Amino acid sequence: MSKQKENEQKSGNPVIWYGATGLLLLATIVVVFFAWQQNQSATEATMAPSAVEDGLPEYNVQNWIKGDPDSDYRLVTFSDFGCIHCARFHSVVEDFIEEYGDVISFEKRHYPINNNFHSRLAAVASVAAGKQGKFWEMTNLIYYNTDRWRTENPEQGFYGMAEFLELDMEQFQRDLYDEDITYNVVRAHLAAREFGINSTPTIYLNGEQIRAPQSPDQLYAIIFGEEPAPAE
Amino acid sequence: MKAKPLFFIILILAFIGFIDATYLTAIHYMDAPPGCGESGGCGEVAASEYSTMFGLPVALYGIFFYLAVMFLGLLWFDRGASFVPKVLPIISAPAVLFSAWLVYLMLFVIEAICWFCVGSATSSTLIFITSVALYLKTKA
Repeated sequence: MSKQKENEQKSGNPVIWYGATGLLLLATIVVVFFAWQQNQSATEATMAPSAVEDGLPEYNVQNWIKGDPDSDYRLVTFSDFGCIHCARFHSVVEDFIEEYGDVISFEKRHYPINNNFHSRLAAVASVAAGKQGKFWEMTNLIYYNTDRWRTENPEQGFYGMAEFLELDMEQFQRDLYDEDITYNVVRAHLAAREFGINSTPTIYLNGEQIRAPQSPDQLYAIIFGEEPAPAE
Repeated sequence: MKAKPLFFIILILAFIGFIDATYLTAIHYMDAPPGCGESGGCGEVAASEYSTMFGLPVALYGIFFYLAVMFLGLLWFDRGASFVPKVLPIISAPAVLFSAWLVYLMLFVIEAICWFCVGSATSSTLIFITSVALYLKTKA
């Protein structure tokens, strides 16, 4: 018995080791295939139809353009204030414009996912601030302070931001509950969804959907088809 | 041998953890376009700055950990390496602490839940508990 065990200890049982290695390889292949399928469906879920021929979906919300409104490069994004990827893309565009100047026109369109209360109110708040000339300032505040308005009383968060931007509070409060603005934001979401957009951020460059760039340089490469020249 | 069932439990947990971490690593490298959909789920956790460490996805470190646990387990089973019950708690304790840190980040910093990540944290915690039990059994 002891001799046999000693023998085993020396040589071990190859079946166990080959079996384990084989099982792990098989499991890896199955898992990677499963992950690939998941990834495919996630990629498909973010695909939206081209807007080159028929144009973008109907949009009746008052809007403000960042950059050069007459630029040949027209960037339109459908985004939700509560979506971190939208916030990230927004900061990429901000950095891009700071770095390369007003070479694009940038338009943010509201797409409150599932028409949820918080995102919808955030969209209306940005429009309300826009009516007092502070759309982009408000947009930044909303994107980067989600903890202030994804709460039970989101309007308190928006009031705080409006005060910070020194807006006319009475006007802001009226606009925050303006039925027309809210109605048009809801319609914009429905029209975009009917058009085939179902995730945020969905980004169009001159009507063709592009993948969300992760850096200003990546955005440059997508727009101009080449890497930016290294800084001197 | 009373310790055997514990050994099997550790192997199964490590295998589950391995599958879990492999999936997370694969998803990390496949890199679907980031976005939030109408059906919910934005992949906030996998896309956060905390999802990589020293340039590698944290899930990859998980794969190495689970492989090490399985290797040690088999070494003990096959060759009766008596140091294994002593080593397992020592290598799984940091894994538990690291998992706890990741779960903390997920719940309180990123404020989003990734169930595959929770799965990995659970299996590493259970591995630690079982390995302590195994250590106590073999010591007796």
